[in-house]
Amino acid sequence: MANTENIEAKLAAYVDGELDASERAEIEQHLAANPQHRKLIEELRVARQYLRQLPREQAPPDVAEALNAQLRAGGAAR
Amino acid sequence: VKLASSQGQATTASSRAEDAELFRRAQNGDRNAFGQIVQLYQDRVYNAVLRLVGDRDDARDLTQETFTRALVKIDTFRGEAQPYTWLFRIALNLSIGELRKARRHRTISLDAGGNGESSAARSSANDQQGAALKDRLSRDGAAGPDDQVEQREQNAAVLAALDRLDAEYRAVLVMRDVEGFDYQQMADLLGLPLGTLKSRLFRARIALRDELRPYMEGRGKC
Repeated sequence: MANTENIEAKLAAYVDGELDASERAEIEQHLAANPQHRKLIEELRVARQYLRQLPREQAPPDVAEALNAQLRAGGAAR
Repeated sequence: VKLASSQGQATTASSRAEDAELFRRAQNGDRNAFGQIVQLYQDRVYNAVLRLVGDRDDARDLTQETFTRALVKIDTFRGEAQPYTWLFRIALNLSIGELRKARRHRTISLDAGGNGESSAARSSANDQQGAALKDRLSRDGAAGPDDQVEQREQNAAVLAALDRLDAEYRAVLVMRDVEGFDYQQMADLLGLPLGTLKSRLFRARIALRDELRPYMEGRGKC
């Protein structure tokens, strides 16, 4: 179980480009010998990229308006 | 106090120090300072909450609730965390609570058919999500250039996939890929050991990939 968690943690960091050179080389050696795993990692990176490309949305004006009214009324009970 | 919508985000050390000063003034009862905190962070909080819960009305209400609670709890801000991280923790807890509540409702609704998460129920749910996807695309208005249409389709597919994930998976993906938190910040926010956090992130990435598989296959990415 702990070993599985370690492997998953290392793969997460590999997908994010957060491993040091020796750890990265270790993973890449494994992936070179395992095309299925290499394909999985590529797909995870594509999905990650999709997520990062979502647009940033702005808060609707009524968020500030409601809080503004709350502050004018004296704020929340403290 | 006049609040306006802005895309303000604190990213530099100096702006973080200025924001911490705003928090200190708000702690001393300066309502103008709290108004500036709302102005600085409302868009970032709203966007994070929207990606967490997936519904604009819920995101609006939860963003308001985040700042209301922040005002009540402002005295508990000690400056160990960055101001935004302190706010985000409130928003995250509210959003996860909302997601779990919504998920319970969804499960009860499916169970009412007698089959729980049966393939028939799942298929029906997917049909509804497909209809919602088409609806979302049609609401985006007239078709623009192909790449814009493609980007909108991609965004809609990602949002629909996120919507099908458990709260725990959704939270780590949004924290990492939307909010840009580092692993240690995420582990601290979720109260998890670092290794467990990274393992959960890996599983969440696989779950997202699984949900996106039909879309990715359609684009030759699978």
